[in-house]
Amino acid sequence: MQRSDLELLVRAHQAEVFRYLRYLGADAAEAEDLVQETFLAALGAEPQAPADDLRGRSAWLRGIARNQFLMHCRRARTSPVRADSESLRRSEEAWSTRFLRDGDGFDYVEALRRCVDSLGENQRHAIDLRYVEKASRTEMASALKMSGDGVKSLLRRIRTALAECVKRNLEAERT
Amino acid sequence: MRITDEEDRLIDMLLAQELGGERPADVTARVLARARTPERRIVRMGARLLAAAVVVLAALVGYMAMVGGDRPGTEAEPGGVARGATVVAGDEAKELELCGYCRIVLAPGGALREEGAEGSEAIFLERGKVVCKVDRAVGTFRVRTGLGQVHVTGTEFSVELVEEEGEEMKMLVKVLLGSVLVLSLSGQEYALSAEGDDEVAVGREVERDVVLEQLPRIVRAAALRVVEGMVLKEAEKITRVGIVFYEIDGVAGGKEYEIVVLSTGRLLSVEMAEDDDEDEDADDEDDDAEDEDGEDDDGDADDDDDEDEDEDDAHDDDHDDDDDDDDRNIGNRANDLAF
Repeated sequence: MQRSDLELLVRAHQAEVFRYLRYLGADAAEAEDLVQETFLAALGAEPQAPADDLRGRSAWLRGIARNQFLMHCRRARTSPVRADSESLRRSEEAWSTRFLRDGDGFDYVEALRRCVDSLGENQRHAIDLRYVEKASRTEMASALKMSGDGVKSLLRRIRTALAECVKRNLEAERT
Repeated sequence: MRITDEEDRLIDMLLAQELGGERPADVTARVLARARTPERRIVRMGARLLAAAVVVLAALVGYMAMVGGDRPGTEAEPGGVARGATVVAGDEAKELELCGYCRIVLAPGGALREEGAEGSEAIFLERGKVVCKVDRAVGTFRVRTGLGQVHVTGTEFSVELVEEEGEEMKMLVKVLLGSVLVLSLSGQEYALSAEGDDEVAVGREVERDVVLEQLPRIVRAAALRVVEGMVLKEAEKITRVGIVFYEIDGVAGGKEYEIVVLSTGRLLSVEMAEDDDEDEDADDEDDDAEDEDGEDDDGDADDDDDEDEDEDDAHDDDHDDDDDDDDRNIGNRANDLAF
């Protein structure tokens, strides 16, 4: 792969690889490092898809990113994230069958935005606390007058509702 | 309804990015800088191999000269070219003939290699220019270069590799009589004829203007999401090493923007042509000072503490307690909105 091709590859896929690594469980700083490692490893590898096959290239890079993440987790014994081949395989399956089902994830994100906009006031307040204001669970519990576990369950329920809403939206678009 | 931990994690990550403004840094420059070192090593290794190959080749040529005999693939024969031969034109043009139906003039300084078979003649143009005349209904003829190829059945045309300073090499094809089909490496096809479009320049990068009304919806939406209210001025569709993207020019608030979007709708870059204010990242940092008053009153609606979901997977809410950490704003709007 030539340098000019590498540059294009990085520009085209770095945001996606970053997002994927965050999804696998890397924190933001780890993901940033691992994105670089992924592309450097790609430079020395034989592409498993032609340059004009964006989906194929994307899948190839995700495979490299998974390996990089797995190696990173093995090296960093203190990492709170436990990764093994099986869990990463399940993660990839969910990513490719849910997130990428209708393309490159663009539709999924658009649907999620719509679903977030349609949340009720209480649910929207809770996720704003968590994701916009980045309140810890304890802070959220105090703000919402709930227990820590209650906050955890609440967030999970909202995410479940959002996942279901996204699914409905995408199915409606397909039909 | 229950969802898998993976789906939950997906939504969690997307919310963190969509609502929390988590942005990937643009690592292009860092990757390229780190890629340089091994590349140099490869170049050095290549140079050593090349030196070794030159020594072997010199020995072989010396041996052939001593032994004599045929040297296929080394020079043009009168009236024709040996199969596999490389032909180099010095100060004067060289005239060649292939199989009686392809007459080729290789311009001074050019080089080509014969690579066809009887009835399907072909040459590979290494550098310079060739003018070819091919008789009709005898056989096929093809000119290949590192940038594409030209197919003909009966015509007269020229192919030139043009390399101007500071620009990428281009293959210039011009039809003088009849028609040809040009295939570029990036997958573009051009049908040229002496009566119609008779010339095309093919490079690694192919650019074409796009009528704004024909800009794909997903591309237009991505551009307008970056710069709200922008009035689009013009757009170009670019194919480079097989990847299609659009360069869109527009104006908003008196400033000119150039936005690059992949055909899939993914944003690659945003540039502002008229940069007269300094606060590039003013939009990033201004929302954390606003409302610290999370003490709202509606906890009651949701306080069903069912501890049912045992979600102790390492990925999940372990992040909840320590997430005052990496609110990194990279300040690169292109990446900000890359999804």
